[in-house]
Order: sequence, then C-alpha cells, then structure tokens
Amino acid sequence: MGSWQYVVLWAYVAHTALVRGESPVLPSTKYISLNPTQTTISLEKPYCSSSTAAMVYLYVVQNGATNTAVSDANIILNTTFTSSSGGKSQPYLADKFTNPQCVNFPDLSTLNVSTLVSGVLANYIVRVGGNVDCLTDPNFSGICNPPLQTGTSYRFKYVYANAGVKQFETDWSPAISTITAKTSSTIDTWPGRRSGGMIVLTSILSVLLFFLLLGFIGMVVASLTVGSSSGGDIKTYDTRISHKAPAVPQASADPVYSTTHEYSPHPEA
Amino acid sequence: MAAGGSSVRCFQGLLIFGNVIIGLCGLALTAECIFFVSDQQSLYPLLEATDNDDIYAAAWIGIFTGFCFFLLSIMGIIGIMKSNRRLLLAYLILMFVVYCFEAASAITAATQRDFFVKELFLRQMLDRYQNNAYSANDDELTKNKGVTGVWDNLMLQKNCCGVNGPKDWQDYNSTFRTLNSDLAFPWPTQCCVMNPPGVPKDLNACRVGLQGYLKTTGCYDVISGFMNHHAWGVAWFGFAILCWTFWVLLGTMFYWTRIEY
Repeated sequence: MGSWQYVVLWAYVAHTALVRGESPVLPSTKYISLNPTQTTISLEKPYCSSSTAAMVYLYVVQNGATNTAVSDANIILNTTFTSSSGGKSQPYLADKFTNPQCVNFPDLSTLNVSTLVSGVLANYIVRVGGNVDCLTDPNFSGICNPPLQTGTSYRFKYVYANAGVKQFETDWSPAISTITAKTSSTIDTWPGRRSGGMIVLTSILSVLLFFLLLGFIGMVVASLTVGSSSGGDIKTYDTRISHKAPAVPQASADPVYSTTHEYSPHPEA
Repeated sequence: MAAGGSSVRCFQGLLIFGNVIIGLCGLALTAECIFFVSDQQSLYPLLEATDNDDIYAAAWIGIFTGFCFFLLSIMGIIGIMKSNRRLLLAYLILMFVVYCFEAASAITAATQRDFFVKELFLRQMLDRYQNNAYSANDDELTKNKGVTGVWDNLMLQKNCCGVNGPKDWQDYNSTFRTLNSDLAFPWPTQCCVMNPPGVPKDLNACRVGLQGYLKTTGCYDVISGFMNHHAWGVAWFGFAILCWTFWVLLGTMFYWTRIEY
C-alpha cells in the first residue's frame, strides 16, 4: 500500500478510537464510588465531544437486545421505557440535555463545597433510573426515566441532534450491570473455629478446678485419718488427783470427803 | 506446730498477703463488671436481639463473685490469724463455691465472644432495621425497635454506615429496602455526612454516593471493639484472679491440716 493509504488507515483508526472514547462512561470512582446501585446507574455527561449539536439524547438498551436502532433515517426515535419493555426489545430514550461542549466543564475541585455541589453534580453526571414516579403518575409529561432492573446489564449511547435530526452518535458503551441483591438468609452466621484464647482459658481453668477438688478431698481424708489413728499430734495427759481432808477437831458434824479423780482427755472424733 | 515458729509465722504471712490480694482483686472485678453491665455504649439491644447475651450474664456473675472474694478474703485473714479450724473450713468450702462460679463466668465470657462475627450483626441489621411489622409476638417488635435505635445512634454518632460500609445496603435485600425505594434511599439517611443540627450536608450528593457526603466506613470496628473489651476484661481478669486464688487455697488447705486442735 502507498503511504497515503497508511495515512487514511491511521485516520480511520484514530477516528473510530476517538468515537469509541466518546461512548458513555461511569464517573471517576475517586468521586462516586458506589455506582451502579440496584436500580440506578450514574454516567458522566459528555464534555468536549467532537459534535457541536445543540442537544444530547441518552439511549438505554439491555445487553443482548437485537434491535439497537436509535434513529429512523436520521430522525431520532422517541421510544419510551414502557413501549420498549424496559429496553428489552429496543433502546428507549432516558434523558436529554443541552450539549455541554467544553464551556461548562464542571469544576470538580468545588465538589466538597456544600453550597456549590448541587450545581456541579448536575453538570457532571446524569442518573439513569432517576425518576420513580413517572410510571404511575398519569399527569407526567416529559421523558420518563424509571428505575432499572436489578442484576441486569445495560448499554448506553449518546446521540447528538439538532431539533430531532441526528448529527452524530457515539458507540454503544460496554455492558454495565446493576447490582444483584442477595437475600439476607444467604449470610452464614456460623463463627467457624474457636479462638485460641478461649481454648487455653477453658482448659487451664478446668485443670485448676480439678486440682482444687483433689486438694479438698485430700484435706478431708487427711484430717479423718489423722483423727482415727491413736497416735498423732494429740498429746494426752494422765492426771490423778486425790483429796484428803486434813484432820480437824470434830467440833461440828462435818462429813469427811475422800475422792480420787482421773483425767485423760479423749480425742475428738 | 510447736516447732519452727518463725516458719509458721512466715507461712501465715504469705497466706494473709495472698488473701489481701484476693480481696483487692475481688473489688476490682466487681467495679469492672459494674462498668460493663452499665452498658455505656448502649449496644445491649444488639445482643438481646441475637438471643445471645451471655457475656452480660458473665459480667453479672462477676459482680457477685468479686464481692464474695472480698468478703471471704477478710474471713480468711481472720481465720489464719486465729488459726481457727472451723472458720478456715468454712472459708475453704465457700471459696470453692465462689471459685466455681467465677470459673463459669470467665469461661462463658471467653466462649460467647467467639460468636460475634460480622455476619451475625450484618444479618441482624438487614432483617431488623426499621422492621415495624406487626407480629403476634410482642418480643420481636421490641427487639426490632431496639436494633433500629442502636443502629441509628451508631451511624449518627460514630460516623459509620452499615457493618462493612454502605455497600451492605446494596449487596443484600433487607427490610429497609422493601420500605424505601432504591432511588431515594440507596442507604439510610443516617449514612449521610451531617451538618451539626443533624441535617445531611447535601441529600442528593449523598444519594449519588459522592465522596465527602456519604460515610464510607463500616460500624463493625466500633461494635467489635466494645465487645472485645467487655469479654476479655471479664474473662482474662477472672482467669488471673483464679490462678492466684488457686495457690492461696492450696496453701490454706495445707495450713488447715497442720493446725492443732
């Protein structure tokens, strides 16, 4: 191939890469970390796109849908959520807003200022699934953007149009799924194995209790055996006392006492 | 013992010293267990809802055994000083009973602590938070209210959300999810960063999950920190007292067998 063909090839590749780079993306996780949720997905608004059309239209389709047409002969389609069965049969229009271009690029450093954050956030992201009333409210007018289904993959596309006439469309984004919620009964609350500290504590205390009981029994037995033996530490005393009254003149008729006593302490049982 | 008077005195002194330590430690155990039972963090409803509040039972037992250790140590000191067989026998029997109770308390606290894993509190939070369903059993309603109150307090005062983080409310279905739409309440409003009067800094930013407007840390560290201190305080301090008391009791038993009538 000639060199100009390489140039054309390179231009084509660069163009497609640029276009693919313009497909809807999730906002930076540095700012918005818990995205997507069960029924909503927040996307970055397209800034500094190559198109200068007035309005941007956001289309949503479920991953795997066969019909992915968003326009009919360059006239954009106004398919609704209900008519497309939530994006299952064909893409539906979820939102539209003015083309932000490069002028209104949001100053993300002011996101932490609570007075400015609403405005900056509105310029920064678009929330798919952001309107819960439009399905049930009969008086609703405007584009219905109801909550998405849980655990489903969706693809998104920005279409740039002037008064309903398509100027440019991005590629379909890669599939982004909403979170599948698990039931709480799937949570296993079993603690698993015992901790080491508990095992040490229980075993040592049980052993100590056992030895105490042994000591107690030994103490009682020792006191009983010492008590029943004739020897031991008990000292016994043999005493003999005899009283003899001194001879006194028998002036009065006092009786004469003579007694013999023997004392020997007997051990307590 | 007639002979070795100084060694007897020394042994008596040792036993009295041992009893003094037991008395002081008993008082300390009582004070510590009263502190735990008074539940400064107000986390008791969480345990009550799991039907597993045995570490509080262990603390209650600790209050009474601690005080009994104190009283019995005084009795032991008097008995040793007077070398009174009857008093010391009563002391030994009562000490053995209190010893058994305190061992039960320590083992219970250590064992039940093992049950407090993240999953237990997560499941309880998902099932019971904001669960106002009327049931014939009044007990369940009280538990649900208790759990809801504790979590509201935790999330507001400790600046945390969920057990692991706000993602808990997204990863699982919950009673909260059935009552509140995912769009308006992907997580409870208490998870939003609040301005001092109790109003979220920016509700929309909180719903979207913007950093700085949503609390991203989980509450499990707060809960488990408190439970750990409670259980280990009761279990290991009780264990230490029992190890010391074991030797004092053995010494007193030996002393008792050697007392003359």
